[in-house]
Amino acid sequence: MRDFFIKLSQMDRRWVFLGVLVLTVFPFFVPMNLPIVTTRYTQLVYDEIDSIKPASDPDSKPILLSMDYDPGTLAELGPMAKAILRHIFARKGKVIVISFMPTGSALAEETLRSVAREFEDQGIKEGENFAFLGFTTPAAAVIQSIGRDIRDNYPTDTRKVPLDDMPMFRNVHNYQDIHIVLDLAGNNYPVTWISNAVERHKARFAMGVTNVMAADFTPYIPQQSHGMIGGLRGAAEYEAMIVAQGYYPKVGDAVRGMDSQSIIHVFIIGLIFLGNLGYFLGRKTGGGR
Amino acid sequence: MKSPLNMGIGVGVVILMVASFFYKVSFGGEFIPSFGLWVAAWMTLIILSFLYKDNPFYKAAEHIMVGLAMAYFAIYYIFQVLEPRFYNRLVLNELQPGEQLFGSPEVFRWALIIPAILGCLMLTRIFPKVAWMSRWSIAATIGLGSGLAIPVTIQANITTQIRAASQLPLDYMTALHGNAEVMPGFTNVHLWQIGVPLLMIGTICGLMYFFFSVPHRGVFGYAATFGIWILMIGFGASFGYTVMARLSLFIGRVLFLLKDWLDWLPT
Repeated sequence: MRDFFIKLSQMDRRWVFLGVLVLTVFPFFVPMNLPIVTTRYTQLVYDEIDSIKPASDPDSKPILLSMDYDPGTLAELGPMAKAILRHIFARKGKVIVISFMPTGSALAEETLRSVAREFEDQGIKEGENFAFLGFTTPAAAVIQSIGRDIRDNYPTDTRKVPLDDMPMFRNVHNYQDIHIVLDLAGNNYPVTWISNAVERHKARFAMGVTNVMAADFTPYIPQQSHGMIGGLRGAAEYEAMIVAQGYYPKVGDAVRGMDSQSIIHVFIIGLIFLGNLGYFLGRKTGGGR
Repeated sequence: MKSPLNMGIGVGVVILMVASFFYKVSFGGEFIPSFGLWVAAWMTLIILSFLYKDNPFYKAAEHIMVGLAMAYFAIYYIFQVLEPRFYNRLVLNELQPGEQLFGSPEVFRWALIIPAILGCLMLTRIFPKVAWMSRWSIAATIGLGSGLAIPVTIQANITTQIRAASQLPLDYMTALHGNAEVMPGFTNVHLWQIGVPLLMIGTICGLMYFFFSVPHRGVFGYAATFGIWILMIGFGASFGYTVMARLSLFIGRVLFLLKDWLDWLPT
């Protein structure tokens, strides 16, 4: 038995990779529909977005969505962005999309337009419900300038239409005219937003981040960030919530990936346990690595 | 690497790549979207092939990715930054209302030459004899960046965080008195009654671990040891989240292959 555990701890790591691949693929064909419990931080972001007023309301304020991710973190933040946009459009709200990532701007535009097309028959229109202002840099200076007037750095959208010609920008100048700033980031940009928009201009702020960064950004809640959606798990929670509330008919890729995520975690925890057992047994006999 | 087996595997992979493309196109796929999907799918498979063994395909994909990203960055900066912010303003005189320096739009316009010169000086690093001139640009960049970042960063990451931590005893008292509005969304008072003291003690003990002016012995030593345990739990949580993130990325790629490329899953 001891030899078995020692051999197991010395197993070729490629068997582990194969195991992870099999367990990733399996739930896509045999869904287990494991329950997704909403965490408080995701609920806080959901509640913020759920409180927006429709564009037809004179008191309606837009959400400023900064989509600061690139293809490297698309798997986590892409489903998150789609779920949030679907929520905003289902409520007939207004959203301004910007990006500080040169390799992410095209992804942001593609995501925005594809979700907007889903809601075209519900009257969602460019210039009235959404605007894409595109990429600009440097982030800190741009974020500070929005505190004066968004037109300072974005006089037009990416179609070269002046902001003043779009109904959704009527009476929208700075953070006081924005419902909330929501940063979906695969990097450190939430700190840039907190430093330059929250602290300096008292902007209302929330974030959606990758799992890698979720632990680091937790201390900013609730004083500097109204909530946080963390990684694929957070995206799955958001997808499940908009479906449960009747805003969208079906769940997306995040919920679909959570079965795989859960069983791979069990697999990895099992391997860590067995690996450690083999290590300690091997150390006793001098055979472990 | 040049054994007949390796050569055979290489040729086989290339044949498979070409065959998969024509298979996709011949079954109703449009040429350009199919080509894009085909490139993305094979790049994914080639990058993942490193998990089995380093190979020339992986090396090629790695270099293509770095080169493409740099080219993409360059094009974006030229057409999204240099053109609208420099060329259009200086050459085409397309200034926005309110863009002026010392009360004059013309001064603002011609002042754009200064950052342009600093930008060009960055390129002097290519020529060793005049490479020292790039330091002016670097100095300006660091100076401006620091000026913008230092005051707000201190406020965001130190002042507000200290204020939030100092508020913990007050939060604790609120929780003890059963007020459910301790924090938006947090209604479990019992969790706060355990969590807040733990957070307070953990913060103090964590800081004590890094205080080296006193020997870590006796009560101070116990507190520092508790502090390092708290730190380890924090690092563990971060690492757990990191594993979760990497798996999410892998799941994303597998979903792309099965759903978008192979059409084996419903959209």
